Amino acid sequence: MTRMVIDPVTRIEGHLRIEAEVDNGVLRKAWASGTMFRGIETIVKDRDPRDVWYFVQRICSVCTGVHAIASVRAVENALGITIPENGLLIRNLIEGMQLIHDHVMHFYHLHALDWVDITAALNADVKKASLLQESISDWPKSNPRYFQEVKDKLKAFIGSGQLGIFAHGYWGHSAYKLPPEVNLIAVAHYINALEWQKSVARFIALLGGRHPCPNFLVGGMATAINPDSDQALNASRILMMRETLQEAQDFVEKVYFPDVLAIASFYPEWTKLGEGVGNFLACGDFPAFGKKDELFMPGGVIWKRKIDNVKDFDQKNVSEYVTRSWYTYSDDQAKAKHPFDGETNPKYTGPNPPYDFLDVDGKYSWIKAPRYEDKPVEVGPLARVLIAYGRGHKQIRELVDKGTKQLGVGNAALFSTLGRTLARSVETVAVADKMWEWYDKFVANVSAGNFVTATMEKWEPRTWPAEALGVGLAEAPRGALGHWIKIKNGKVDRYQIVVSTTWNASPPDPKGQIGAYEAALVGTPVADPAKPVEVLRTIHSFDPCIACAVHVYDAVHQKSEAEVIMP
Amino acid sequence: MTKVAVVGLGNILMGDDGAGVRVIESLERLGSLPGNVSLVRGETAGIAILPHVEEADLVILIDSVRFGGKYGEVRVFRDEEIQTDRAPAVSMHDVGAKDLVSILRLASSHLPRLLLVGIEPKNVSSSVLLSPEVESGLKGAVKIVLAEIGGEEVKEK
Repeated sequence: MTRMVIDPVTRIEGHLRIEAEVDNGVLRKAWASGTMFRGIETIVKDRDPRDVWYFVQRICSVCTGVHAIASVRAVENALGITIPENGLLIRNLIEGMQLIHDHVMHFYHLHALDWVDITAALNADVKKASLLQESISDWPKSNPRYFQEVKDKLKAFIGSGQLGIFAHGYWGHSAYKLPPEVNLIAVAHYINALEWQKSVARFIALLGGRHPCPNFLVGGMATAINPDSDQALNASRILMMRETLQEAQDFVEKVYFPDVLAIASFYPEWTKLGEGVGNFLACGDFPAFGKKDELFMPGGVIWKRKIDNVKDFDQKNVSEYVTRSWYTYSDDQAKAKHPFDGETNPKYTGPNPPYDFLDVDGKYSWIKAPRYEDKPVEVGPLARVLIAYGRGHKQIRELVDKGTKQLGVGNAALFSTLGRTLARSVETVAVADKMWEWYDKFVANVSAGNFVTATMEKWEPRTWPAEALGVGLAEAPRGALGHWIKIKNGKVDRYQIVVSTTWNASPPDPKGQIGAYEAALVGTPVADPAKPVEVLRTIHSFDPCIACAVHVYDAVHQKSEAEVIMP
Repeated sequence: MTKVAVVGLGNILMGDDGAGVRVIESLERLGSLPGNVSLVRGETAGIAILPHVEEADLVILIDSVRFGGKYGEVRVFRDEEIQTDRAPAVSMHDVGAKDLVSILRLASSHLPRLLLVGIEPKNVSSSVLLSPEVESGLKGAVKIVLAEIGGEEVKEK
């Protein structure tokens, strides 16, 4: 039995540590620990509820918009505000574009490198790569000369001696199975994705005023619309949105989705590995105006893989344990708390660094353990896609069926590492397509002279009740996200956030039920414990974002979060 | 004309980590910067900053950097001094300054000159305030940036 530690897990946001026992080349048991904590809830306490979105969207860099959306929704829910249609459409468009951006960048820049051997791309035959690309899609960047340029660029980059973004990869590992040409195509698309971001950034900046960290507003959106003004979202800018949306969608359909399928086809064993807890949860998102319960990505709960029996989601059934996390509750330590009663009292009892191992039989993480109806669930793209599939979502069903058919697998293959990766690309295609409907409706409203993006009816705190409770739910790229607010005398009295990664990366609850990361890692082959690329595959398939999963900065160790760059 | 992008990185909710963003705010308040200079509040975004900088000839990144100086001390790192292989990404930003530099080296069709203005942080923990040491270090960072962008202007003339 070998005890293995990966700390930090690279190519994710924030600090995640994995400890594991490996026996005969197979991982037998794993412990996931968030080793850094910070306190957003403490920063927003006693603030004006209308300002909270500005702070919470800075919890982390990637899902900025979605934290802001969950926050303004929580306040609107507390105060009984219904936002106007344009406000809703603009939010959907920004959130949708962020999801598209996040998923594409996660794939090429963080996750694909688990499957793609960057250095092996140097052995590719550019003519073969060109033929292969042309067989995959009609993406125009496919001639041999283009692939030669990419190859030369990569050669110079690797030759410079500073691998930078590619440092710390396990290049040459026996687990890499792609032909050199597929590796080269993936490198080309890695670079294309960087360029592609321009359209995304422009689109979000047009609607949200700025990018990154666009502007939000309790009551709607702050977007100024005037077709004839240079200072507002005018006719030519609305046309520019069309162009950028088209660019975003082209890349998703012609590059990202086909690449996922092409790469997955070389790793069939990973459709059998990496299942989590078999339970899935989505709160659902992308509302329709005037239809209270209609969400483009529906909410729901699936127990034990039963896709055809999706239950309704109710936030009342969410609660969090701290029995294995470095927090205390003011009363019963062993009981779970609903977020309205939630507490974030840090109490570090782990070993003093430097240490070899955490006390995995006791408390070992800054991540709490959220449970739904007292059971662990997985959240994220796979959960959303399975729930949509189960609820008969036409487009999701078509895309999933197309993917599984091309890979020659059944739906059971979705409960796996590659299932998550495939689901992420499926929902990206679906959302990119749906964007047009929101865009067209928005344009129709503006053309009809409807420039209203927000209601100011309950803007003034004197119109508020003395006390109010609100819940704001959203589907972050990484999964279900909830913000719970208690407003008292015009100020934030309590604020609790349960983020997607907390669900997935949680330690066990008092019943010993483990979370999705820990469950998914059991049975992972590990050819070389010093180079655990297989473990990274499964962990990255969840797209961890520990920066917001943990809540308070580590005041005990004062670890540096600043960049360490020494000349 | 030489294009200059000045990018402030960091999380304004994490005390001194937000120093780079504060420098951008100070520069914004000055108001009268040369027309070839764009100021970017990069905040915690990494890769997403690329569209803002890839057409620039000079990219000035401002970020909190632990280089072993006194709290609030400002140090300038130029081009090759900005190592990109040291230590895995331990930034809370999805990718930090060093990854951005690395990505520019790989993906940009023309490589801009790079300058990293590092400010030694004291307190990186949940707070919207800077420590007094870093607060007083901001002026130095602003001065360095102004000297750099002024220098570009002179060359152009």
